[in-house]
Amino acid sequence: MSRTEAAALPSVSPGVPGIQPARRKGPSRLPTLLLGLPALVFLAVFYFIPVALLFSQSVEQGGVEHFRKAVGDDLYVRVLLDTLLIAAYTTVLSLLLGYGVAYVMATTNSKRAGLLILILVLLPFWTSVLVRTYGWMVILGRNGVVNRLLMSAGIIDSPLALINNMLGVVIGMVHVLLPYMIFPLVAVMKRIDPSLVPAAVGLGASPFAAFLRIYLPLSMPGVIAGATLVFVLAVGFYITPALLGGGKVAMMAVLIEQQVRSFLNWPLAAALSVVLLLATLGVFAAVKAVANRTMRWQ
Amino acid sequence: MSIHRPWLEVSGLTRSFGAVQALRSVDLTVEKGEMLTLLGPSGSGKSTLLKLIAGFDYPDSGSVVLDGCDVTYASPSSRDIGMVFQNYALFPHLSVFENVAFALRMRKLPRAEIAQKVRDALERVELSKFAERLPRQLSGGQQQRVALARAVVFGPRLLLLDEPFGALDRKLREHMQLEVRRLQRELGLTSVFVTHDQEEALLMSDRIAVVHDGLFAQIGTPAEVYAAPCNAFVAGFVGESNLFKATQGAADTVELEGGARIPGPSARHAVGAGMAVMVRPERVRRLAMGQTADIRMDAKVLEVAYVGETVKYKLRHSNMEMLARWPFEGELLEPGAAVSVGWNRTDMVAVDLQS
Repeated sequence: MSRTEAAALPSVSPGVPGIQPARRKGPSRLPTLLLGLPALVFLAVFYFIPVALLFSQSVEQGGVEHFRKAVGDDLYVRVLLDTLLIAAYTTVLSLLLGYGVAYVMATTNSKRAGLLILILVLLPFWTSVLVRTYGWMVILGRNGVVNRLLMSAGIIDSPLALINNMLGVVIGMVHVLLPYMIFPLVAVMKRIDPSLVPAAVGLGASPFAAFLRIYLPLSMPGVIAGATLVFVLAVGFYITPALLGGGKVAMMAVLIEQQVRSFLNWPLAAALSVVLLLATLGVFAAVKAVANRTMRWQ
Repeated sequence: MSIHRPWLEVSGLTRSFGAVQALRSVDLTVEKGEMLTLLGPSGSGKSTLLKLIAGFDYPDSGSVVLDGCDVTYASPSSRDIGMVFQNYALFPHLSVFENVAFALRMRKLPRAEIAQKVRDALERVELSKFAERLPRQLSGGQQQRVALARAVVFGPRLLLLDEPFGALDRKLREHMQLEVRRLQRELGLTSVFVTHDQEEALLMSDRIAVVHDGLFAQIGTPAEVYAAPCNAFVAGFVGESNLFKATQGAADTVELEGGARIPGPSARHAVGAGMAVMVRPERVRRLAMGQTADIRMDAKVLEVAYVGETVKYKLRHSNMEMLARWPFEGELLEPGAAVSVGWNRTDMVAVDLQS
């Protein structure tokens, strides 16, 4: 936002030339705020107010008791930590798999190759999560494609447990969330000046050093954006863990749904939701703090 | 006995992209401390040649020998070549100091030595006060100087400059041209400079190699290239010129296309060969009544362009059109005015029709 602002303001820079004028408060800010108003109202009505209601409902019916349970009970803490762990695995795996794809998409000179990769990424993205999750069950199940192939090849004797555990959940979630990692990465990588890496190599850097010191830091905004998006979505994921976890992998979203549907314990569900929200915000704030320090140049 | 060996020697360098021959077996030598300019229109192959020298691309055949080492297929990181890119290619996330220090860090020099060298380099380009700034906090001219400091700080064996002044406004460009030339001389840096701007080439270079269609049309000092272009392309590309197609006649005469026979420049062609005579616009003189010249004709003014201290006139004599450039002396001729113009044999140069 600050960039658009600087461009809109007449560039008056008394003192040292080349320094951008300091942020100014003035009439030019109001129209910018007005532009955001409809979305703000929408969020207020459909997000902030329901969250506040949920919170107040939980407090009204039992004070801090439900919260004490949500953060004190071993089971719930385990599930919260598992949820964060699964989200972290998913994020790291998505990053490792997505970075290369994004790099090729951002730097390929061949229009056809770029389009092909885009389609390959988008096609699953547009397909229902439910369909894709069932697809993974067919592939990874006890009698699934993978197990039968490995067994008929004589590599294994008994089927591997690929679903109904954390592995299956992570595989399914990475597949669903990969595009959320790739697109922010591509957007940032496309803005990286293609002559920077050759410049670094010309100055004596090995290709690896040029990547580590030049390309990677410059792509960090994309890494942060993609990782945040994937992590936040993963923390609240429901369908994939419910189906591929086979009831054996408990994630917060599954737990909350159970509290509501099976036990009709709305206040506890609300407390768990708030705890999950706060945990997510905490991770988000930590990432932002690190990002702000390392990406001063942005 | 020592054999003289040029600092940079390019031989038989060829490079094609698909059906397009970007370079057609070119040879070039650059002496130590020399500033050589590759001058040519876009697509002439000059950037391809620069890339092959820098190591960002490899030739189909031929060799690049730098300081006695064959580096044709060496990685760019091992060539010790400093390069200033067209858009500067400064690292946006690193401070001015770190940008300049980059090559030294890659060479794993001791900390104190790096700091000292970077300080010296920044001082040379008068940017000491800006060491902690980020590139985007600098003006275009300052960014250019950072790029220059970064390219020379590690004592490169060769400095390459790829149209570095294109993004600067005219005044700053002229200033930077002189500054780069001064720095290059002070440091005794052997340099190859790429540009499509002929004025820049004349100003900056010890020698100019005019590149055309993947070949060198001419290599020579700025004065040679300007005063004695060897073909019509060079004559037309370097400076403004009047070219008249002609046939070489006997006894230093030429027969112009229209059939007129005039005294020609000293002959470079066999009698009967097709060629062209060239006259620079500033050599076309306005003749007063009674003044004589080897070639004299009456002409009509077609167009007038006032460019400050001189005025450019487009003139016409029967079917010959020509440019003349005369000092502005308080009075402009109007289009349609009749003038007598002429020039001497020594004002003309015989050139080949094409390279």
